Amino acid sequence: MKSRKPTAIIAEIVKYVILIAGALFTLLPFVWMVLSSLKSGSEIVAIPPTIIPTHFMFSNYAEAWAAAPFPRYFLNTVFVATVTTVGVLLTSILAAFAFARLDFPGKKIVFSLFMATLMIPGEMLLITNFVTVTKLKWVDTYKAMIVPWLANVFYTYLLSQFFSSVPEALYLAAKVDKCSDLKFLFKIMVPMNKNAITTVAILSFIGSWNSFLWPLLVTNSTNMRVLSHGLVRFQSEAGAQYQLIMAASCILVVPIVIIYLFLRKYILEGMAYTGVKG
Amino acid sequence: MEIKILNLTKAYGDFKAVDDMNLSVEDGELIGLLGPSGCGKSTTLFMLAGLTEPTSGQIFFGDKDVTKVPPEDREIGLVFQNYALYPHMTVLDNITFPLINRKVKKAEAIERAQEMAHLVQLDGLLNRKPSALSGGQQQRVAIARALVKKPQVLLLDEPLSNLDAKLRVETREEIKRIQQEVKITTLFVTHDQEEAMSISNRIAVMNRGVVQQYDAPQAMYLNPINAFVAQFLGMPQINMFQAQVTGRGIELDGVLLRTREQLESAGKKIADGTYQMGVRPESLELCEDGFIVKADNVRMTGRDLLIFFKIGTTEFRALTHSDLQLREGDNLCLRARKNSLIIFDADGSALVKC
Repeated sequence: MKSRKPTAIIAEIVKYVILIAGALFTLLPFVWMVLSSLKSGSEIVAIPPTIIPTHFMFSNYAEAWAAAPFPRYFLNTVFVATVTTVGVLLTSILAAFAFARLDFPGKKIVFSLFMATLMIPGEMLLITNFVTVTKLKWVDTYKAMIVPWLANVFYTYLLSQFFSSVPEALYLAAKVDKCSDLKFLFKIMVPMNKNAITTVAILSFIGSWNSFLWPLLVTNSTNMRVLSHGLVRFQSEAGAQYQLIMAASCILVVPIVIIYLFLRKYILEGMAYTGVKG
Repeated sequence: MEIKILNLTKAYGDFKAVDDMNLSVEDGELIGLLGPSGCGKSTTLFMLAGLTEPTSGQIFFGDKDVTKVPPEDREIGLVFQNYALYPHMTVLDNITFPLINRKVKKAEAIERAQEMAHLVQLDGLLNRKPSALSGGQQQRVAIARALVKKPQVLLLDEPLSNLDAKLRVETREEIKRIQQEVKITTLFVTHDQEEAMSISNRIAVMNRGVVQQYDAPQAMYLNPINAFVAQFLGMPQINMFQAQVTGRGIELDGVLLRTREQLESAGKKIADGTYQMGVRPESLELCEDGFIVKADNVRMTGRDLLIFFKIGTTEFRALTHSDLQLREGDNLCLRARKNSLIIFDADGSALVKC
């Protein structure tokens, strides 16, 4: 066995200490959420706070589930997130391919304009989008929640970078093999970049799943609300019922965690390529 | 399929990558496009494939003008330098890809792919991904994919440049064998003169977008049309030097390479003056009555002994059989074999051999 220098061992130890600290730091709020969701209403506000609940109040979950029409919210959220993700993938893939492979007049200018929009803060878009949606009389519809998010400059840019790195020869080979541009895109480009595309899909899905402000702005009726709005239910003038908020939050993140566990491999590879943080 | 290239030119701005090229290829020939990098050989290949649009000129496949025909309708098979295999598909899917795109039924496509795989000796590897294959195997997948649609012309871009030396020799024989078995008109691009000479029926040597010489390998090697071709073919390179033709014969720094009598008896008439000349290293042979030189360096290459020496200030290389016992500093007596001295004019065109 190779003998290692003491400095190398110390460096290794320091590295792991930092990594463990980082992991704990990231995990703590999550653990706190789960523990709090099992406390009673009085225990959660008790000072000094307890870490482990004295009684595990699983009834919080039933109570939270019953407090708002969560099944409806859940369906709405899944629907909006799925349609948005599929849509944004389609537009991003097509646009990315155009920027990466095709030649068309004004390509550079269009791409610059595209990139420039990345500099515009989301809050500003919120207002103009709201005005547009109102004028279209889309308020309180799925369209209002979905359509504004069907194109994403960042995802387009990210994918076009990936597409550009696919060797030109593959494109030419496919051409000689009587493969149309569209077929090349979906038969070769997309499968070759499935990690990056999965990453974009996950980012989009999570973004849509967690969105709160926009759906709240453009919906009025309970039927159109999404999961994140359910959390607001537990706040009243008399104060918030934190144990129920926590229980509802747990319910809210479960699907995301499950998706993550299934797609972990792709996400990690995709992230490693892109250096995107999740 | 016969190929005719007429006045083909490809210009990028002022730079002419291919300049007024004319070439005709007969049915079933294997043609090597040979030249240094940037000489326009790949551009020519891509114009034949239809992936690069010529600035002017025409390309005929048989009697058909294909200059404006898109690549997918030219009935060509193209093999790229880096093979361009689809990495996410199995070998089988790669080979059937051109057929599926041409609406061939799946069962038939698989059958033809298997036939092709057998031809290029890939049996048993059909379910692997390209990344699980060696370079040589990837190359053969690329050839199988190019041939499976039964094209009329096979085009190969630097087919051997990504392989190691031993595999290169094997693979070039393999290409020759496949080409002869399928009897397909084939053009391949290479910068390796040995590769081009060993398998081509004819070679087109290109430099700066212009075809210098188009001939069978042996004829070209023995009778290069100009100094560029003479220098480009042959390893080790031909010895080039400036020598004088005088009343005594051909002289270089006091060494008489040819006597006046030798020139006259061979019936060669050359005006007096200074000329650029070339003599191949293997044309310098040991003898009793030649010129004496001192071996500055002796390299054993296996089959041959490569001897470095100087006449005046000009460096020369000579190849002799490896059983010659010779050490650095030893003297040896050499002469240039009959008809091996190539004399060039001021433009570099070959004038005469003596």
